[in-house]
Amino acid sequence: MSDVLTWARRWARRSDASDHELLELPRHATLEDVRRAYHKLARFAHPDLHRATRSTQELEEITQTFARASNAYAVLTARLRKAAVAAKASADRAPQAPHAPRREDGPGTAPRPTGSRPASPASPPARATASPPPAPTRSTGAPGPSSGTPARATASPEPARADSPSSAPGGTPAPLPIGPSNAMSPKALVHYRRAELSMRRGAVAEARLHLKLAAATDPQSAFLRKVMADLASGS
Amino acid sequence: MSIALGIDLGTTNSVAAIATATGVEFVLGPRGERIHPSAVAVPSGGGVLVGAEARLQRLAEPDSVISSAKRFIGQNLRSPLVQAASSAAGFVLEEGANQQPIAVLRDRRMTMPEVSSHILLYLKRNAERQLGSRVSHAVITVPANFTDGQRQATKEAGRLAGLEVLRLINEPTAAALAYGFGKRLDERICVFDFGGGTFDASLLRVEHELFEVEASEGEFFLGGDDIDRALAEHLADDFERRFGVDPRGDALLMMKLQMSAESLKCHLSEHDVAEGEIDGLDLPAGGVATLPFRLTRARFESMIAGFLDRAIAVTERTLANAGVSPADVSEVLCVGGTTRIPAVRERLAELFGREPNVRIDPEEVVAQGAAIQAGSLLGSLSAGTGMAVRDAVATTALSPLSLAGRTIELIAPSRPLLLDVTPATLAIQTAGGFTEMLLEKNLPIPIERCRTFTTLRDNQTRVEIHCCRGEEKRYADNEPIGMLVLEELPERLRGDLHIEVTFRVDTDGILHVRARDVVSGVKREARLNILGAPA
Repeated sequence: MSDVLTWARRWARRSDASDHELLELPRHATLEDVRRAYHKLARFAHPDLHRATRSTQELEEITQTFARASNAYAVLTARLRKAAVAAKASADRAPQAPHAPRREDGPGTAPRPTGSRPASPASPPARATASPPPAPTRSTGAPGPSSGTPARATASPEPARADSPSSAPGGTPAPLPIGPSNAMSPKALVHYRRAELSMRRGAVAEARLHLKLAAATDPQSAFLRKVMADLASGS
Repeated sequence: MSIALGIDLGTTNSVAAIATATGVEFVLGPRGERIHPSAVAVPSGGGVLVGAEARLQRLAEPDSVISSAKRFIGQNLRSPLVQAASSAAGFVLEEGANQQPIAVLRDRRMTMPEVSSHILLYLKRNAERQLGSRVSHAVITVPANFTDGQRQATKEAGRLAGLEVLRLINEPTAAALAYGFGKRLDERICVFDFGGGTFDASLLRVEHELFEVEASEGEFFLGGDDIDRALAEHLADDFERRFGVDPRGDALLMMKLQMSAESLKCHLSEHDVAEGEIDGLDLPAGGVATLPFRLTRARFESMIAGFLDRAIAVTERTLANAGVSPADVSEVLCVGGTTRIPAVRERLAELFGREPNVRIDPEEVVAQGAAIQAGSLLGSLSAGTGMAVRDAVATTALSPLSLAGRTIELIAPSRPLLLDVTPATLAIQTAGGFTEMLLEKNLPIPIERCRTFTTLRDNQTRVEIHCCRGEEKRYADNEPIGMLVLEELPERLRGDLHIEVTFRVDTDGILHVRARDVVSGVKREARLNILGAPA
């Protein structure tokens, strides 16, 4: 990383780069690793440090890439914090029931962020407006797979994606949605999230490998078995 | 060679400073004062008065003075909170272009950025007189909870005053910078910023030159002004009981009571009881009255307990958002004049289990921080890449700059780097009047995130993207920011059109929104028009 503009342009060409890649982090980075990586990057690439020596156009390029890195930092931090909370919760339960299956504990212990969204397919919101606002379809930035599939209620004709298995077929109105974060053990969830990342990059073989690892870590998760079956059957 | 001021543009008072070799030098008023009232007067005799003179004008012509303009700058006049505040403004407000408030003084109409620009110009001129050279750049501080409209309007005020605004920084962050700069700290600090008009609480991790904000919360209509007003109401009740006349209908009478309330408040910060009389009160029916008063500190504290409860609740929420317990905080900084009230400090000591830091001046520390940041940004502007070399030589080395025959040394030990956060949750309206969040509160800035959305109806050629701030699920329950429109979209079936919406919050904390139609390949971009901002 010799020149900040080279750095900015390199990542501008790679619009599909993952959050880990942007921060040049290994897959198993901890919260502290993420923080340190971002701080290091900030000391090198923060636009404040370059406004003196760069043209407006160059500064914009630097800002753009640094803003993406900030997003990666935000997403990874949120995800790792959530995982830490989940791990702590399951560790707290462990002494009482060491052999109890950890899956499907219900949303009481690990609520999904989308759980509170009024996503019941039974009551789709009204569509008639003079100039209707856009309806969300999918996320391309890096809002993290765990931040949920946006506004499922609008039922866009997008094909179901690997990162939204709970919105998959049927649309049976489940009162309490079962999502990845509460349907498997935290360790399996780590593998599952990696599978999602690979899927988003289009690396299906790699995703399958991570899913297998997830299933091996928590063989009792019905959720994982179902995702494996879905993946095997063609999608 | 240019120099940059650090300006704390406050609701009631403003302070400006510049970083020099010996430390931070304050911009002094004509009588040598460091603190300048944020008041602008347009006397009927003509001209414009600013600062202490404008404040005095309140007694001669109360309707010619605009004070606390910061409460209305960049605001949407239609928002309910602003409506409520405008009734207590003391001057007439009218709706201008883009729903921005406009002050009406007799035959003169002034936008809020214009009012603020008079204050900035006053500070700039005083600084130029003091330094003997031109001041061209500035770093201006804003409350951490300022909206996009308020930030843009503040920048506009700087521009109108002939200043290039290098940066807007958040007041609590500036205070932390003034406190921690050059100390090579490694600790977590909480800034409790209780000013004249607004309240902010921020939590920061300081690691040497890196200042990272972890969480920030605030309440916009909560400050010393509210305490003055509550106290003035108390005096008004006394007045009514004694003389049988309600003073609330008389602007001049209320102004006098409010000014007395302010000095009463200050007196009670140092004494246990305030006793005396307010004289020279003109009765509406004719004649002059004198109102005796006696107020104990205990009584005063019970009167303001509600305001303090709100401030403490915001602080607790800030800690909770960052997942930090009060014991993890190693220093609590008091910022803003209201923190001079002993009860405020007691409540803080109770919350954190440690005495707050009172060694810094609560009214000057924000301008100091702004001056350091200005020096840093400008130092880098003028010194260029040489900065890093000097850093390596010695951490206390200063970079001398010669201007107008006088040497001003701008600070340049290690350059501070501020990593601030998004001030609010930002979302857009989606089908059925719901919102879809794009950026949460407390994310590092600058940040950019994009999402793809689609159309709801077949052959829809126009899409309106309404942006709002707030965490409510229904769009109507949030505060609208503004909207952008994509037009002449190709006719497609619903769901076939992909519209990429990009939210970017820049280093000034201002939101920029771009929308792009990705499928048709035709770039149709639209930009956000912010409500309340100068058009």
